[in-house]
Amino acid sequence: MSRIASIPDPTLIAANERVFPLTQLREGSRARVVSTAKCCEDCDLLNAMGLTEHCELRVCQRGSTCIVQVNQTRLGLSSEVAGKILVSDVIGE
Amino acid sequence: MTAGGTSTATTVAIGGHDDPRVHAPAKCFALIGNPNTGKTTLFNRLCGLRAKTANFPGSTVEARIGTLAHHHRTLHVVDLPGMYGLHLDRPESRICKRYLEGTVDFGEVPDGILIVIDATNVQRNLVLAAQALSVGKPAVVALNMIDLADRRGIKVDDAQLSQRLGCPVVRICARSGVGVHELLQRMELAGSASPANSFPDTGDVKTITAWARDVSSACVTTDKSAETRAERTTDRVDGVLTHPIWGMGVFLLVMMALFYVIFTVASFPMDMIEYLFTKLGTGVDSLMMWTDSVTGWGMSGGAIHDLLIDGVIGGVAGTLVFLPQICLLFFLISLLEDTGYLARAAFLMDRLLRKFGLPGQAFVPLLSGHACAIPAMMSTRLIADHRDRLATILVIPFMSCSARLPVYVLLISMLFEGKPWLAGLAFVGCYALGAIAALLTAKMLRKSILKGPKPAMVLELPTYKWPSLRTALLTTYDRAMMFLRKAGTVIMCICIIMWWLGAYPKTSQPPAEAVQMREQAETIAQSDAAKADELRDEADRLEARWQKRNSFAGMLGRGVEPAIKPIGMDWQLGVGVMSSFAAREVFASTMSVLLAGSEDTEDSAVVQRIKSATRDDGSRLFTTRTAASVLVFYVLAMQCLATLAVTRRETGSWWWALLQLIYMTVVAYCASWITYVGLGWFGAT
Repeated sequence: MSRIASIPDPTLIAANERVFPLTQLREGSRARVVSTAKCCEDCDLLNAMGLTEHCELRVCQRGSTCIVQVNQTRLGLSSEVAGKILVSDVIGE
Repeated sequence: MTAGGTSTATTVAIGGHDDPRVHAPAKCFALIGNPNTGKTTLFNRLCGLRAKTANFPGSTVEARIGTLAHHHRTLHVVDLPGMYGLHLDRPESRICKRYLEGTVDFGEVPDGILIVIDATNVQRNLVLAAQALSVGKPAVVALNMIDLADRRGIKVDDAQLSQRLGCPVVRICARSGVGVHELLQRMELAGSASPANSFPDTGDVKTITAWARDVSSACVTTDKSAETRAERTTDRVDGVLTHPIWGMGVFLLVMMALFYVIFTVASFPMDMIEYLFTKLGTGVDSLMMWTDSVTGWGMSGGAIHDLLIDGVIGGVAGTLVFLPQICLLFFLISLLEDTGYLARAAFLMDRLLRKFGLPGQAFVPLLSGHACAIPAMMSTRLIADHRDRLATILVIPFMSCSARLPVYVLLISMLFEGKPWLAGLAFVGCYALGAIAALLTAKMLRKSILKGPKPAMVLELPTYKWPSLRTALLTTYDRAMMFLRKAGTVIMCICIIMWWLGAYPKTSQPPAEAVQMREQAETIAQSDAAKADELRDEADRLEARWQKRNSFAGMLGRGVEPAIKPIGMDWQLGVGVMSSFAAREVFASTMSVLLAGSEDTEDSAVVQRIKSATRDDGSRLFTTRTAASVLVFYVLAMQCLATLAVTRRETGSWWWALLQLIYMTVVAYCASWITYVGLGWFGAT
């Protein structure tokens, strides 16, 4: 997994913390969202649906479309959107 | 203020808004909440049938307005569309924000806000709640689905929540009615004071989300083991229902069951409607004949007789006949949506439809188009994005509806007589051609006039739950009433106009051949009664053909003949095409009357006469090339004015309906021409 250069909010990332797209997470993994800014026009909607920076998510299903759980909200995302969501800190599987 | 943590099952006694006991000034509440929070279930619980749906002025965003009386006060409730935030760049968010602020006129000005919060998902729901409370109107929060939250081990301290929000919080279960009585009391007592608390900048997502997280962690406690169990179950069910193979299998089964019910169950009430209206027509006919015999007014057989029986009764029947399919489709879709399955189906189909610029939610409306385009178009309201919805509405009529079946049967039986396998393939080909045309058109629309940001799939997959029969029935009732009010009147007018074009002007002189036959029948009536009857029947057929030929529709058919000649049609087929604008299946009966003098398209003798019909120059009318060309034309043409009326209603503009008509006619014409000319190159007659 490669480190992503353009991170909108550097305060979210601790030193040596790896940041990568959501699509690289395995099924069942938990992670913290670092940025949704790359999602452009979908960013506000994602945020309003609960997928915001700092929030913790769990990957329920992955593939060309994926399902993630944020708190009690289950979201279906296209790989296009999931690929633009940057996450870090794999919390557990 | 707090509603306390206890609730009892209460039957809500609600009187009509004209209840004489009601004398306190009426109050209006805007009902707001995230999607899938049980907002509509609550609205239905409060208002039941005393509700109507209306669009916000100048937009396609709609809201339901209901009325109820509680104790001595009338309460109006405006059910706003479900949304995730008031500050989102979405039509429903923009218009609802303006409505809450009182800057858009929608009849009822809200005195207060009723906010629905899903007790199983408090944190996310708090964002919209804070945005709504910031408007500064008195508010009451309904903490819904407490039963589900209990089962999932989620405890919400409503007293604490009420304190943090600065307004009453009432624990309810809209489905069972628990807590609704108390909610109504809170709504009635809600004063003119704004919420006691101030909120952080609700327009800034980061700030408001942090606030929601803080409030949620203070008010909500979760039993992790119960939550994990529920999550695991949902994971397992999702694993099947959204699986590329198993999920698709389940989806196909569900869709097959849906359409089996729509085709089979709806056919009974549809037949009943047709039967009852035929009986009504016969009854009116008999009544007029009786009136004639008593008064000598000569009404039967006159213009008023024809207008009443063929125009008005036929028009009402032509409108009501759509109702069973509309009701069934909406009832089943509502049940599926309530279970949480429909969102999974949209998630599954998104992969396929996205390639053609359509969202996954478009699949059910497109498939419904195979039953009837009218309910299918009405069901596009599931699609949130305006461009996606418009593209879906514009391509739905390409899907072969049940009204095309009689036309396909007639033409395919001519093309492949005695070849059932080829006939079957031709049927499949017709359905496939329509579907391909729909998908390619959608792709083209999304790349041209409907070009714009394509919202990538971000879809909430709601919690699985048992569907509410009450909600499904009320949704069905609402949609049926809306169809009758808005589209039904236009459809009825169209039916009357199409009848008039086909029935007028009345020909004063019957054809000479028919006169001769009748004279001959009279001569031999005594000696050969059977032959005389045969001659009279033939004379009737000739007169019916003569009437059709000289009607306005016949004139139009002759008028368009030069334009339709390149695709193999003559004026007779032109009349068929013109008259079938009322409904596609009318083509088969028109051709039967015109070419065989009988409306019975199931009579094999009639079908044989149609097959051997000739043009004015004596050549055969239905050659292979012509039959194939007409078939392709009917697969692709927008031959249904009722559908156009619904396009106008759903898009809010005649422009889209006109574009749909012109585009589909051009596509159908070009495809028919290619078929006609192409078959000629291959040596077909």
